[in-house]
Amino acid sequence: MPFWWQDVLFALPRIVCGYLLTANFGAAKFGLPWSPPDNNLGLFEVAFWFPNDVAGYGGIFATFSVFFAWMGAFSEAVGGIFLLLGFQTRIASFLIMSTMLVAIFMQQIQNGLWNCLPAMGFLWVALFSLIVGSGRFGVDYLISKKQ
Amino acid sequence: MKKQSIFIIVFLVLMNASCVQKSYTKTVVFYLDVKGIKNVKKVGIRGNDKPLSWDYDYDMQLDKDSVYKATLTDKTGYKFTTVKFTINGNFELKDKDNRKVYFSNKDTTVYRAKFDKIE
Repeated sequence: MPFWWQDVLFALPRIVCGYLLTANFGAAKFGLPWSPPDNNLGLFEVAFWFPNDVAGYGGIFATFSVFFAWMGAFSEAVGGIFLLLGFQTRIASFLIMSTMLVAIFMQQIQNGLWNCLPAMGFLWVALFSLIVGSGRFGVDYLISKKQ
Repeated sequence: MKKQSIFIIVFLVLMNASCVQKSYTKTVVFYLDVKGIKNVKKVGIRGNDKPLSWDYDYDMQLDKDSVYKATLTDKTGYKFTTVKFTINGNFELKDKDNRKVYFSNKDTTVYRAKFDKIE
């Protein structure tokens, strides 16, 4: 971006969404050091109930429920912190985008458009981060500058 | 290319090293004392985990003088469940936090409570 303040404006939604994903939505169902202790999750474990939820989507999700549950929870929890830091931004964005598409079309759409809004918010932020990367305020920028 | 391979290997190792949280069958026996409360027609319990719901009562049965009982079993990985009791469909602890019932290390947990009182 030509001006630094444009990068700030651009980084804000990415940082907020990354934080919410890793600290709240992801940490509740994926074991991270900051997951709620009462949830009793081991490191990198997906919550016991999540594969059952995913299996309920049917089709390939029922066949590979553990894989998709783990990937979805990983995308939110670990992808969230990567998005927050602007580290491997495009990989994290792709994972989050895929997870949000599943959340919208397989889980929330039958509950009405209003219930799709949180996932849609994350989807749009992941989409533009996938295209433009972290911008000036991200670890990716520091790494690429060094090289 | 090398960086991507390392990333994929680390990812696969992490994925294999862990997986799904272990869950256990836990039984909770709830005893609710409703002594001193008038016109008790129906005593229920609502909560997060199956077979409970926040939308409708799970009926508790009269055990002995003013004490109602319900035995619930569910498979869970968490250390606790959250509940509230109801009398005639009305919640206790209005505008207060739900009761947090921590499971004991054994299969069965006994939880004794007085309606609308946290001790």
